[in-house]
Amino acid sequence: MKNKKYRSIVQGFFFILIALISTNHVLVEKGLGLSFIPSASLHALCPFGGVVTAYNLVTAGIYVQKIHQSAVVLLAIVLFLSILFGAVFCGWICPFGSFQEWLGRLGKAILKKKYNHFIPEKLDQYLRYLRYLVLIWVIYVTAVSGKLIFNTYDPYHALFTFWSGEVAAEAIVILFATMLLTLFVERPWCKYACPYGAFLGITNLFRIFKINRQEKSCISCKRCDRECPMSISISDTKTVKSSQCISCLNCTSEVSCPAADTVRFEATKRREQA
Amino acid sequence: MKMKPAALSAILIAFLLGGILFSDMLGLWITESSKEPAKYTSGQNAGQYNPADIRGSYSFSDISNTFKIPLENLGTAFGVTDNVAAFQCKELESVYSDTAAAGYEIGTDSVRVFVAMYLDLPYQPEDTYLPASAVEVLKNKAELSTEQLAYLESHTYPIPAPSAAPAEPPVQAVQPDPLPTQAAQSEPPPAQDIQPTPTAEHTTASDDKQVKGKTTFNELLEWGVSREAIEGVLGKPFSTTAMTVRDFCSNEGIEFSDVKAQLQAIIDKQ
Repeated sequence: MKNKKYRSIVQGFFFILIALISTNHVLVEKGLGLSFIPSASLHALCPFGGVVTAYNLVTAGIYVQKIHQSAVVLLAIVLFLSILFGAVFCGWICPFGSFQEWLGRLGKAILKKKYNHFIPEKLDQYLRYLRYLVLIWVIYVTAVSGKLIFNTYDPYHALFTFWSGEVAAEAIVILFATMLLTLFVERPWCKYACPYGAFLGITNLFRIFKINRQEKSCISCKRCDRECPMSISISDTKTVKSSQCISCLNCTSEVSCPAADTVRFEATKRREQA
Repeated sequence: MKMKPAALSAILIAFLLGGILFSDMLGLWITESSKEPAKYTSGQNAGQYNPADIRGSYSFSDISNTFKIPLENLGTAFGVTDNVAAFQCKELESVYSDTAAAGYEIGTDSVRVFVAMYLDLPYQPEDTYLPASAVEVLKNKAELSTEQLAYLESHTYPIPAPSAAPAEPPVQAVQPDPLPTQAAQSEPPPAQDIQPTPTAEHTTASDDKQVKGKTTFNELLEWGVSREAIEGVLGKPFSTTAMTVRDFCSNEGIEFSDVKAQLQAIIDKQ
């Protein structure tokens, strides 16, 4: 598929980068680190840390335990990118999203056409709001307690630190549950539970670069719907504003849409073809 | 203006890595704690580092440099012989995991208690235990009040080398008391055998209405302390009743030991 390799390269780059740095951090703490690899905790590298600490930072001038200034820096950078491109962090950078996509290929290979069709559409619609409840809960309990409560349940943290002994049993269980679900549903954590995805998804409503579909040149093959990792119905919309869109560009004519210049990621309003 | 995948790839990598580099140049890219605890803001110790803010990520070297306690004393106290400087407080939990399994927690809070007693600084422990070796160091190096000695007697765990099986806890039950400094001595307790005697029972704050580190606002309200009285002591309102008073004080920059004493006085008057 044309141009799909760019996203794969970027996803692989950030996955390996995060894995190396966070692993080296644990090794450094044990006196075994490699000096030529940077070292930082996973919490220092996660922009969601900036979200959860925002309340305490604004009201009391302190960071929630385990969160450092780097998380706030990352929050600012990702927020800037999100205003431009929507939840692009989810589609191109988040290592856990990438992990689910890669694991999902196994599910696709085994289940073929049945893959990603196990949850009834009506139920799926309501389940998509669950991640907002998770977001509200995480922000609230963190603000009230001043502690990183979500760390106990975070499968992303578990993925990269399960070997270090510093991960909660609950997070391991949620990680394995997510991995199992991924074999049946594409990106289940992103769709139903990720609080950061919920937060960034809001920017899709006003992002500067939007996914527009040209109705005149569209041949209604629905290839865009099939290629969308978040199962968004693109073929019947003119501008994708769904909070679930991760700006992966899989639906665009640059990647999978067979009609030239039909589904575009652009900074202008939808233009009618001459 | 159309955005193609190749261009977006380059922009994302450039902005993220470039943003991090730029923030690093400005000194904003900080990925670890400063290893400098907060200081007392009031009282006779104002301006001194507060052992209550020692974090699990602090190494013995950080504590030695900050509190001016010789590194070898920290190593001897907690039975650390290899790489003492780099040893982090949070590692105590895994080193002394057997004692935790027996119900006697030795971890970061043990270091806080040790440092507080070593330097005669006020600190409210959370029913924390110290290894016998730490108690020995304190007796040799610090001037301990009778209350502090009594606390240590009831909160000492006889620890063999960490690789050996833990010793069986003696059965004598001793009520744990708060940890005063020498400056606040009250009537000395009856003479007791100095042999370590951890409590066989762990009483909760709700059993004896003693305000401790783990006491929540819920418990205070159940003990009959009115919300107005609590907020009068705190000087500000609280909303989450499930929160511990200590965590609230820590978040609000209030000295917990002062609040504890005032709340305890209200409870005792009832």
